[in-house]
Amino acid sequence: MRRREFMAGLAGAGAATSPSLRALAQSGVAGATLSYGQSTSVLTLDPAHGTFTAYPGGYEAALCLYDRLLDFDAQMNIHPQLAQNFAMADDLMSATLTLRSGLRFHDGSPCDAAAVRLNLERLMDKERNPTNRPLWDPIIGIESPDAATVVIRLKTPFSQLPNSLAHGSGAIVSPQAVAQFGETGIAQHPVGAGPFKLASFTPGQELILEAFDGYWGGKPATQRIRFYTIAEAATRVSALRTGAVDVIDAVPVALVGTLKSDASLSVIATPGLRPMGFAINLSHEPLNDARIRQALNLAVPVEAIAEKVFFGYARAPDSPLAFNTAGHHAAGKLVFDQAKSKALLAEAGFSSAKPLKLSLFTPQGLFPNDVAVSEIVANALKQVGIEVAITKIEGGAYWDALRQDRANLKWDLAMFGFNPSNASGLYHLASLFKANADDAARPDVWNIGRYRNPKVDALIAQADRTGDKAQQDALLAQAQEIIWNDNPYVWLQVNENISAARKTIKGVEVWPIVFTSLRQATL
Amino acid sequence: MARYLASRLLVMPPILLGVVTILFLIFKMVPGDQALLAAGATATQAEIETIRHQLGLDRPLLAQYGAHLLGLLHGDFGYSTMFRGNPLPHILERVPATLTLAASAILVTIVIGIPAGILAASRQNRLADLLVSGSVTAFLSVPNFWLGMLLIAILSVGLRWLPSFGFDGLHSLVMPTLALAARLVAIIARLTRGLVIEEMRKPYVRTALAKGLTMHRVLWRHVLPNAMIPIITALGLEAGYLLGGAVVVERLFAWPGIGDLLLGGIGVRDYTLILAITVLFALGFLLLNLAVDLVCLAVNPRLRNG
Amino acid sequence: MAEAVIAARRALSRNRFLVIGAALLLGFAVFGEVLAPYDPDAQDLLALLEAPSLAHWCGTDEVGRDILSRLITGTRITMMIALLPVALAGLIGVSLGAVAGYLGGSVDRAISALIELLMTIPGLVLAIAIVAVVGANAAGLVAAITVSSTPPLARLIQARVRELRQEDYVSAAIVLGFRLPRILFLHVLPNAASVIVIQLSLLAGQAVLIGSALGFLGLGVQPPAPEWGSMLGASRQYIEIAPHVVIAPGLAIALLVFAFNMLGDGLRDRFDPNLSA
Repeated sequence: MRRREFMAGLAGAGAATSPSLRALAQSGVAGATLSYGQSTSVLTLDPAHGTFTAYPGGYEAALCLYDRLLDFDAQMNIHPQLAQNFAMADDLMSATLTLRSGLRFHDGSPCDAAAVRLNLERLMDKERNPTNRPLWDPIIGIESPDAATVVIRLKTPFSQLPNSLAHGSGAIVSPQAVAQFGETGIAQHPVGAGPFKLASFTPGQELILEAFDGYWGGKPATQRIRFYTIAEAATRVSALRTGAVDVIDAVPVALVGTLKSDASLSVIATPGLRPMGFAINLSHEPLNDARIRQALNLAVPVEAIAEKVFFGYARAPDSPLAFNTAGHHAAGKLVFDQAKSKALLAEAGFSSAKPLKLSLFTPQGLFPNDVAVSEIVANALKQVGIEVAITKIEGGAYWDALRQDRANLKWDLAMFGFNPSNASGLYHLASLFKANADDAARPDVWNIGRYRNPKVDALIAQADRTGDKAQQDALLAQAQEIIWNDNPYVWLQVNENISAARKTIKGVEVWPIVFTSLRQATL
Repeated sequence: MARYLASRLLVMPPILLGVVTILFLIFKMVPGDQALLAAGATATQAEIETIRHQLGLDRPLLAQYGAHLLGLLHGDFGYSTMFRGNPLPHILERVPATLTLAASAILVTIVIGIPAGILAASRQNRLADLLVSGSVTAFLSVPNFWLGMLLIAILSVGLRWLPSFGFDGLHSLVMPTLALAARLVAIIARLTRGLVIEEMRKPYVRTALAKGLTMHRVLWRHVLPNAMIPIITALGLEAGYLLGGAVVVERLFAWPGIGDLLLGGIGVRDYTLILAITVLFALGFLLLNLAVDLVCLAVNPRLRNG
Repeated sequence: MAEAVIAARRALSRNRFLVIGAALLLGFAVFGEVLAPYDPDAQDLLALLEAPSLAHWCGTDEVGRDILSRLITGTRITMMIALLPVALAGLIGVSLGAVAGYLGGSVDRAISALIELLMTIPGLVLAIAIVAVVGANAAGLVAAITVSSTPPLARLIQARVRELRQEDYVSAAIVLGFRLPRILFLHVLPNAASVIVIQLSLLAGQAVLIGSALGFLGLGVQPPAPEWGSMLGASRQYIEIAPHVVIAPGLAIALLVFAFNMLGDGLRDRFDPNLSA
């Protein structure tokens, strides 16, 4: 099926069965506050600051505050939201969408084509939106021929446009608010067209939203939502158990058992889209030797880690992409073979007399059980004769240590997991494995290990230009197999995203991209 | 009294200036590019240079110092990467939580520590004394974060009596206060015990008892007032522990105070925020000591000649 | 100086348990790897978070390592993090304090000002700020604890030396033409020795608490070093399902601090009852 027809069909279906918001609007307890204990904090609510700082806290709040042109559901399928119809041209060089009528922002100003155009231009502008560039760079111009129609023009064929529009950074902000509060003021005074509007905001601590009467999908059932930051996992879980909050995210696997044994709580686990791994610094000798990289992967018992450390809430991967990413293809199976690993290392010239020494970087609290997994991997590598020195870096400084000029890279192995928050496998592969324009400078996106394979680049470029899903998937499959066998990463587990809520709360969605969505939650 | 207060208050700005200067110099020694940290991991070189200029990092050290001081006069602590601007309003929002915790710790210390010390002194070397002295020794050695964790394990997880996080009403104050105050209670109890014992040896006590006054009256009417000054002074000496310990306790109990914020700032290498909060802690220390001295003056007018 | 050693010996001998405890600690610090039942880094993924048993007296941690072995081998690094800074603080603090107290005048005032300024910042907060600058590693920890321990010691020495300065034998020494270093080292400091030794013992206890607090907060040494505070911080999240991981390291810290406090108290009682609170 051609992509264009697919999207148009969805658009039609979507209009008729817009996610049961209206249905839910009639049920539930009115006038109560839904309290959400988040693991990361909401610091800024401006979509043009890309990562909303401290992922995913800000995105989750934005999901309630803002509407986007298109939306994901819990299975990462794309549906219309503010746009009633969406159609991409056959040559993938433009797209036309029709907005619903009567859309309003929280401040009463109309959400029409002009407003959408102003937003998209803002996102296109490198100055005003410095992050998530791969999502917005291909857009070259926006036209709004009438109040309900928007035409997006692209500079190259861009099949991923719907994923960009559904991405969190595609949130549509009220231009009137931008004029009133200023470009930077929007971050603290967000005005969108979503089901909830801002009541109060203490960045880093608490955000309170209240239901928006004028929402096109009907006023939401929950009157207020309170986002509260509880960084410590154990305290977060306690808060849920004592009833201080109604929903929590990022439940550590160790505590799932205690939550499950509590009859008043429900645990929601969905397979994630973020495969974990250690990026290998290919610019450091001798890591450019394929045998060594293969030896590294043979030495790590990923299945045991997934089973034991994560209590079964994780799986060993079979591809650089997670299982439910669009375009996933089983590229190979992980093998745990210490003997073969030692043999390969010996072949490459390393032994107990001349051991391979590696520097491993890990953050703390950024990824699930990051320090514990790092210690296990270091120990596993020690079993085959590799000496590993662990350096633990606090959250904020970690990204900086990773994304350096080639000359400043101090790590051989760095823990990393990428979340394609637009669910696109193509986006994931391009972000991590497409060759950097200049390996000596900082990486374009997240190709921190300086991986470079022209065949992969060609496949990615081709897939970008293909509108046909089956064709695209075939190209991506080839790319995945090449990357898998090149071993640019020490592949680790794919975690499930686990949130928990009180049983009486309905409609909490845990998206594979680590988001817990409360748009449709009711008490 | 007023003149004393004024002279003490006048001395504070120079002290704070000194503290700011020392910290400013310390933070200038940070390895790495501060503009890079402020701009974020995804910034281009041009953006980093823009931020460098915005933050004044391309100017000579003295100019930066001057600009920083000038900003402080307006309450502007500089550019915090976490809050993307002056962190002061956000910090001030969290001060009440820390003040509440500190105040309740002091209250608990006085309410439990002093009577415990008196009890131990009046029953010297008997069971009560041994229990109190034993507890004192224990609480002086126990790290407050461990004590907090044990309290959580027993009172929150085990018995479900108390909430283990956040500032959510009076009962959420109980465990953080206990964890923080334990050491102070021990110090004050031990001090009180020693002072009371010493006082009781003095001739006037024997005279009073011989005259027929009850031990109870002697203790509370005569012995204790003489012991107040050293006790309050000891509290002042422990102001450093109180504020420092608050940082750990706040992190453990997710208590939304400035200590927790300080640790958050460390996590993202936000030196402006770290400097601002550290200066505030110094100010808190000075104010606590001032309060202690004023109370001592009020309690014992004889000291006013000083 | 000899007085100090004699007093220490007496304080220790009075308390058998303390002697045994001190011996154990020293033994662990030096011979930890030999005495520990298991390799402290040996992981067993099939035995995560096991409760105490005959095989593992203190249970296992989140990656299957024997906690008792980690406690034993961790004695060295936990003690080093405390003792090295205390030694450094002693060196710097005593020098600064002695010079300031002896010379008096503007030198005294300048050093006093610096000390007062540093002491205005609560100890742990200052330590955290230093770690933020130097980095969360062994060097950073040592620097941080040294900086927060030096001012109180310097101030104490300063006061004591000021007192001693007035003594007759010092004036005599000056008249006799002895030079400053000789006066300080041979005459003044030995008389301040008791104060120094008592304070250092108490500072050691403080240093263990600050060091383990930093470890707990994640600002300590790199994994997998078995520093007790870091062990507590890492296992904090398992307090509900495996409380045993939290008990042992905390108890160890408390016992170590207790030992230092007892030493300090014992010395103080022996030397100068007037000094006790």
